[in-house]
Amino acid sequence: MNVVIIGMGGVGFHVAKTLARGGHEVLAVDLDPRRISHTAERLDVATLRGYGANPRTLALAGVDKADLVVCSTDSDEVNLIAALASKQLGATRTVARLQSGEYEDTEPGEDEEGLHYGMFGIDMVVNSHILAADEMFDIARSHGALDVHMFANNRVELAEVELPKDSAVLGVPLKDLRLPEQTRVGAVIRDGRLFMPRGRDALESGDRVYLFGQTGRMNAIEDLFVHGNSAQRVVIYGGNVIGEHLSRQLAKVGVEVLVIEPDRDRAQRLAKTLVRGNVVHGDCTDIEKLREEAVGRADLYFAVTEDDENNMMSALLAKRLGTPRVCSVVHRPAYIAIYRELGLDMAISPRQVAADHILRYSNPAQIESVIHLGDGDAEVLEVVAALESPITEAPLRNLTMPEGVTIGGIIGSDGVQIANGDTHVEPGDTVIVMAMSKRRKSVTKLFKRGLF
Amino acid sequence: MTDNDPVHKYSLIRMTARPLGLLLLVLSASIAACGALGFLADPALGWDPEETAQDFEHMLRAAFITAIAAVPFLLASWRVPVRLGRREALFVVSTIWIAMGLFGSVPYVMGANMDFADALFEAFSGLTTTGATILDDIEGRLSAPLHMWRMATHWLGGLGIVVLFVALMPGWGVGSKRLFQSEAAGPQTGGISPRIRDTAKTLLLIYCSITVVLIGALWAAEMPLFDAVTHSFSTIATGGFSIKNGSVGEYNNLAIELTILAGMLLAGTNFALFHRFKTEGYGVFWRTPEFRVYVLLVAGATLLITSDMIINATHGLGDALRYSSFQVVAIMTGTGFGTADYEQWSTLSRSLLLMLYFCGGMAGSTTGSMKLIRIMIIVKVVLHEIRLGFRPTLVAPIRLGGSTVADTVVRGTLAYALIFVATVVIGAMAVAALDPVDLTTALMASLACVANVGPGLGAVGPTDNYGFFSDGSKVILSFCMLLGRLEFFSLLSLFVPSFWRR
Repeated sequence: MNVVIIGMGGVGFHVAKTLARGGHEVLAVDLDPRRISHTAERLDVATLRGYGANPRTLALAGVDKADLVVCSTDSDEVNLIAALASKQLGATRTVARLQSGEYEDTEPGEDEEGLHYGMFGIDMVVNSHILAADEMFDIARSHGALDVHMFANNRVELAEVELPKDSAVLGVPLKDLRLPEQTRVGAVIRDGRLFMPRGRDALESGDRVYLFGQTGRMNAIEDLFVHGNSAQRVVIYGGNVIGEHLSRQLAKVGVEVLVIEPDRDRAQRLAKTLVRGNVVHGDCTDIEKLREEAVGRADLYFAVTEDDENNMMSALLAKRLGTPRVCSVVHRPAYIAIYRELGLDMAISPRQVAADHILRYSNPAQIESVIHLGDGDAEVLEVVAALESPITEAPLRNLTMPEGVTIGGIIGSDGVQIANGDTHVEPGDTVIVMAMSKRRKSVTKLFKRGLF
Repeated sequence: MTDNDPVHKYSLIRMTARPLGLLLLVLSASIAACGALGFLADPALGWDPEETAQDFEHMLRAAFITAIAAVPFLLASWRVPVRLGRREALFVVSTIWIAMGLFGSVPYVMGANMDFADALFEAFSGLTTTGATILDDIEGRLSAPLHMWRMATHWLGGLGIVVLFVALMPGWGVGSKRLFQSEAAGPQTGGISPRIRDTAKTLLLIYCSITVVLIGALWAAEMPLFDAVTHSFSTIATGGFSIKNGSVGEYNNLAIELTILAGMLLAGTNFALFHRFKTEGYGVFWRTPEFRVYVLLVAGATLLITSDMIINATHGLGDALRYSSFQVVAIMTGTGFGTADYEQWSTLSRSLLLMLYFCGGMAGSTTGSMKLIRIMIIVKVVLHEIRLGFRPTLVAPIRLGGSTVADTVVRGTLAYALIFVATVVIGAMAVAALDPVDLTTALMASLACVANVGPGLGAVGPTDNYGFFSDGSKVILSFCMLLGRLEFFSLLSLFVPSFWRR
């Protein structure tokens, strides 16, 4: 696939890296010569220095022959113009990444589908902040999950839970567990090491477990594993695009929301638009302020400001005050691993969420990395089963699956189902596969036609 | 986003052992293949079949030794991930070339009973496409398989062994790119495909195509098949080895000379242009400033030498044109074939040739020396400095064909030119210290080796050879060739102490 990526910031670089490694031809465009040399130095891609919104640059980059143009500069307007112009010049598909909330409709009507759905002819608009807020919303709605990912148009869910000491599933071999219908166990992280459990393996307290399930059934399996409840009282630190979107969504479903915003003007603006829920002006790195607002009694604490360090410190303070689950936004993806070591339950990087979203869209017909688990040890892929591929030959029970590969869900003509032994994959079905990253080749083999 | 930096758990040697081991296997296969190709030589034309069979066996043994040498490297790298950072890439490229020279000399030692220093010189001269030889009687000393190996070293080194390697081996992602760049021929390579492996494959395809066409053309010009194959190898790589004592001139055949002349000109052109020619048509050549300079320089130098010959009444117009054009292209592209003894030419003509020693062909070609693009940048920098003398506030970037040249490139070019000249002078001093030679010989031997041309002037002229030098000088000159071929910086980085510090 021929890909042009405009803007080599965090999102652009990650998308370029993943696509180049996947064997695609990538051209990276940026105005900043330092970013260009940084990219040329580290990735096997071609580079071009130029202004992304300038049609001449786009023509020089050959967007007319590109299968995909990703516009991910720091400026929303440049991204929109570049995506529009690329489409005009003949690019097959275009993606624009946005950051501001201004292009989101504050109160969209029932049938209105704003910029997100192909207005202007841009194929996909990705707003990293909105996506991060959506992911946090899913976490808040789950029964105790630390992380939630959606697949197949939100019909399949992958939730990560950490088993408490009194979980009902401890010590029972997986094959003897009575799991709710249409759910299954994916992978387990124990002592920082990720593995795919077999039927005879039993879970221990402190394990982080990935659970697959149809979206409506997840609460049941989450209850079984962690007997949690969806959050009733949520504190959000930061009234920016993420905080605003998240608080509005949560308030809409009846959750008690408290937004704490350090900037007075911004707090006032937010208070005007947030009908249900409270807005407080203050700084959450001040433990007195947190005590004053009784943050310790909240079910969930989100730190979403632009400042990584403040987010981390305030989330740690909230944890200390007794908030059972705390989550922080990280803008520098390298921090994620450290956050977990420090005791934060969850860390979400808007850039990575946006990059994953773009990558999911980039080539649905082939194997694409969708989401990385652990520290990238495993990944969840959406793969289309080819005609006469080994996976379609028999029900899963009768197939010898390669080690480290688990079939999660199947999206076929007759709807979505979660895999069990009787499931028979038909050619053309999209299959959600969880696999150790180093097993990528066996997955390819499994879904490709021909020589086993 | 997992971290992609090289793992520092393993030592530099272990992390780079696999490419080295694989390369030795490739080398081993090449030696064996050349041994077999030796049977192309037609016994009816005076090749001794007994000698051929005997040296075929020697070659197989040399191949076996090389393959055995690969084993420890492959074992050391067992289950070690190949992660090539900058440092590793420089190390791999430098050591690959040194290993190639060392093991490339084994066939000579085994087959032709050469001294080690002689064999080493011959191997490095072949691989770096220099074309300088220590043999006085080329036809007598070597059998057909050894001739084939000698010429094939040109072919292996011409495009760059690392390019072959990147094209054929499984990709190491950005590591491949770093390898490729560490062996680069001049600034501004790339521009063929976003992925380095595709670029390398395209280059290799162009290289092979020209080779095949040349073989056909030479064969059609009534050259025996063995001679056509070997001379094609030498021509496309701008090497300069010949299987005849009298080089190309010995055939005394105008068609052959013209074919080889055309081949050398093609080899001196940026290969990326051939690729772009497919989509952009002939215009791509003339639109490229470096190509214009290339053509004008060849034409200008040929005309000057021709007229010089006619004025001095040494040759008629036809002969003057024939010899001068061939010699101009042979020297400029660093091939070093001979059809005439240019040592007999006037001082003016020889001075002109001396200038061409520094030029080389286009960047991205198989030629040696400085490359025209660097000369162009240097000329522009000098002009700029002159203008700054009377107009100090002038702000004007260095431009080449519509785009500006980055300051880092300009600086790199100037440093390159400086180190080029310094190496020539230091090389000459080292040679003069070890051997009783005159100034012309010392300087020209060093220059001809650094610029990868081959024959020089004085005692190393077109009809002479390097055999009389002491072993020490031969090793020094071999190192000069390698420095010139790898464009100094890659190889020199190994000698900087901080390279080894962590």
